Amino acid sequence: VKPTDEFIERYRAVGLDRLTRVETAWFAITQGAGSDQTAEGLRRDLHTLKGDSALLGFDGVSKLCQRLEDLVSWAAEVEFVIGDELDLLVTMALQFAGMILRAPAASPLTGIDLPGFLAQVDASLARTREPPSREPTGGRKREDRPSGRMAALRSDDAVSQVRERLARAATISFVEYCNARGKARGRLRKLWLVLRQEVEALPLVSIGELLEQNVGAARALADTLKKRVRISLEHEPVRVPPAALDSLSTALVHGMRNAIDHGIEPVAVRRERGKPDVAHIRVTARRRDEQIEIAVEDDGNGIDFAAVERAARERQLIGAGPATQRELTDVVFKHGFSTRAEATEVSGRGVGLDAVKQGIEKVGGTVELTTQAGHGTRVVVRVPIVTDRLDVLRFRCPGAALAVAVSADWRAELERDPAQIALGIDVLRIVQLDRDAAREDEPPLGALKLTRGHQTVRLLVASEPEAAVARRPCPTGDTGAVEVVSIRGVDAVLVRPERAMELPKAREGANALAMDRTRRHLILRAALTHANGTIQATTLGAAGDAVFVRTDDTLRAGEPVKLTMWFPRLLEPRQFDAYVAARHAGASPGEPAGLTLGLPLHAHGQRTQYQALVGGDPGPRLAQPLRVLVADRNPTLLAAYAAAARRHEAAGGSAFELDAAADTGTAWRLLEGGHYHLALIDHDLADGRSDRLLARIRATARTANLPVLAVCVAGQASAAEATTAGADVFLDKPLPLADVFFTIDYLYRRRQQP
Amino acid sequence: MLAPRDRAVVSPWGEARRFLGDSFEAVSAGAVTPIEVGELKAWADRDTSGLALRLVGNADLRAAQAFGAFIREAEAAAVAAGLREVTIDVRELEFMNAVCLREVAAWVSRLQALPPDTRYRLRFVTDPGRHWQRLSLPMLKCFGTELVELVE
Repeated sequence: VKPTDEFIERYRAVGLDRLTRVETAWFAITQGAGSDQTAEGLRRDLHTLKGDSALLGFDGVSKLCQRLEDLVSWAAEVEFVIGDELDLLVTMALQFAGMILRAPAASPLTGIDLPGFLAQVDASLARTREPPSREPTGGRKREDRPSGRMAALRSDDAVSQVRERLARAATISFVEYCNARGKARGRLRKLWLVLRQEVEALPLVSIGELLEQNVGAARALADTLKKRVRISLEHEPVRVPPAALDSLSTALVHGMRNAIDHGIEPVAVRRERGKPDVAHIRVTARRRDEQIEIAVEDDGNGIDFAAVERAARERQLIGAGPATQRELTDVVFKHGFSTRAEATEVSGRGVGLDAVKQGIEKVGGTVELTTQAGHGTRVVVRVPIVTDRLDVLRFRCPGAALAVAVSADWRAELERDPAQIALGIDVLRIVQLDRDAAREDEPPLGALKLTRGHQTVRLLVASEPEAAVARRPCPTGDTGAVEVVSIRGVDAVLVRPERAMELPKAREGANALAMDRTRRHLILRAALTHANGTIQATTLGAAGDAVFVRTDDTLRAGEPVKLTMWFPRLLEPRQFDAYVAARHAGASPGEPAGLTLGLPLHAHGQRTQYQALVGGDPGPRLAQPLRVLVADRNPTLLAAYAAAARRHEAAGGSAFELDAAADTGTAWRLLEGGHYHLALIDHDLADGRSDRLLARIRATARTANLPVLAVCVAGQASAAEATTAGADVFLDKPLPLADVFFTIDYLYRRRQQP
Repeated sequence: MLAPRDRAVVSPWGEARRFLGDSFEAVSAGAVTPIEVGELKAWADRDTSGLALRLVGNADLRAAQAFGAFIREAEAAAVAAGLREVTIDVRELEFMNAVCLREVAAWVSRLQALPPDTRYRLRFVTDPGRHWQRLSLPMLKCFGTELVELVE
């Protein structure tokens, strides 16, 4: 339905009024003169303007309002201590929106770049996830200062961010590979391995230069000590983790110093032993599987283990009995041990190999020393390319062969009580892994209750958890729900329970449920009973085994709740065991804040009951139109209701007859004289709040059983007021109008079925 | 367009007089009244290509009202003279707060409302080393890519 020119003009005028109010309120807030009411009024004006703009096709203004809402949320996060950047962004966004609203249809704006503008706002908003400045505006130095942006652009941060993103892509490819069958499986495995290799290589640094420098220094040392040594260097283009760089440098320095100072005999001795006058030290560096191996090998003395044993015995580092070569090698790595009577400038202080060993072990590496008296010594240092390690609990999930792990910093307890198992979360669904055909019906062994601080999550398991150490070739960062790790060389899926609940949001679960506007959702009253009380809310859709509940209340992911859904006077209450699967802040345009609840419907009878509530065909369209009273002071919305009802009917739904009222008096007169199936009442009407109207509806026999859906922009406080006064279901604006008519139609059609 | 500046000059106001020379009085009196409010100094010159505004110091809340009037005078002068371009030199403007920036954004909005053949371009001479300019001016350009030009 195309709005009339008059309608558009009215929208522009009202919109500009709203912007002026927002601007005034914002200025008051920036000057520290605002109150909670100021901020609340500002939000409401933005929210209403956003909704009106979207309805009338002013998408640019709607998007700007959305960004302004985000910016105001940022302001709230910093307790309304407004920094310069935030102030600039809000001001510019308000001006931009005003410019669009003022532009006459006959004279379109020239060369505006709204996407570019929004992108700049988004970039600033993204940076706010870094700790914001809390300095008050007035007390701040005005000159340019290093900002979070500069920090974010530092190359190491940039590499780290790219690595995390790439690791997430690699994780997805791994899951797809696991789920794939046939030829695609091989291709996806290759993709996974390539991505994994790229993730591994991203932070690595080349050690070619380091090797060259150390070899050069060793040659200089040999000259100083007048030792005739040829030092050869053979290395592949080896790259190592930055964390291992210092340790490797230390190992190289000590390895070559020891070889030159201790290992290489005087020329006379070498001749006696039939060796060439010029000694040879060979340094090699190469990659072996998932390790970097650096070896320093000389053709000198080798270690005199008899001397080592004497020195060790004198210092009581070994027992009285004969020592094995292994024990003596260990002694060489002990701090302060040396067979030299006097230290030289170069070595002999007994400080060296122990430091090498400690440094290398710190990054998960090993040092190996082999020697043959009279023939030489070889020191081999190996460091893993992947230095990230994590202590985990490893287990298997029902239906899958693949191992799953969670960080060992969760306290774990295996519960076998069926009631607790019923609350367990199927990890495979979180990870989006298909069940193995051979294990399709595998029952859970129990629910692994994981507790950390205030967080509690139950995961269904098919095996007892066991402690293990996982290597992390593809670290997805703390914000990633899933990561592929390697446990004893075997790939496993690391799940972060605190994040895992949010994963369906990115897939077909929660977010799609809230955002998928191609499907119609049932709007029901919901009561969430949890450990600390009950939350009254509104559901907005149900799909599969998940329900989206629109609420500002923040329950923790994984928290079990009793969910009751009904529509008073139209549908009886139904109760389900559920858990909080994800929490949504409502940050994106059109996305409401709320919770996605998972329904473990394998408990007896629950699925049947659920399907009876929301599943199936409600039957044929109603023969008679449904009569609905719509009370709203906003003429834009009244027109939108009428248009939505017509669209519903045009799409095959039942017909609606709407009566409109802008104030409580008109609404009551209509209700008194008419027969309505449902009333849809905004909480703020032209002559005040609808509380008294609602109370009157309930107090009057003729209207006492009328289903009433109350709507408002004001959130929980208004919801409580409206439901206390007699509304059956409360819904925050912006309204999913199509869902409203779908719900009314659906419920009445279900009622007429036998 | 603008002569090289003498870095040793302490007072931008004195510098303005020297910089503008004989035309200073005529321009300031006849077209746009120079302002000196708080830490902000702003003045105008009409050069060969149009009107050149120069802002120096710190455009903060104290300067907002005067700055708004200054902008409107410049706007009126540009329209009256049928200019195609107004240059705004902000290289020495250490900071412009949101309230003053609002005036500039509103100027671009008003430009958008002019009939297409009377619109003129705002050419900002910038110092990208200043954070506020890197943040604000590219956003301002989004108000009208053909109406706002940023040069270093």
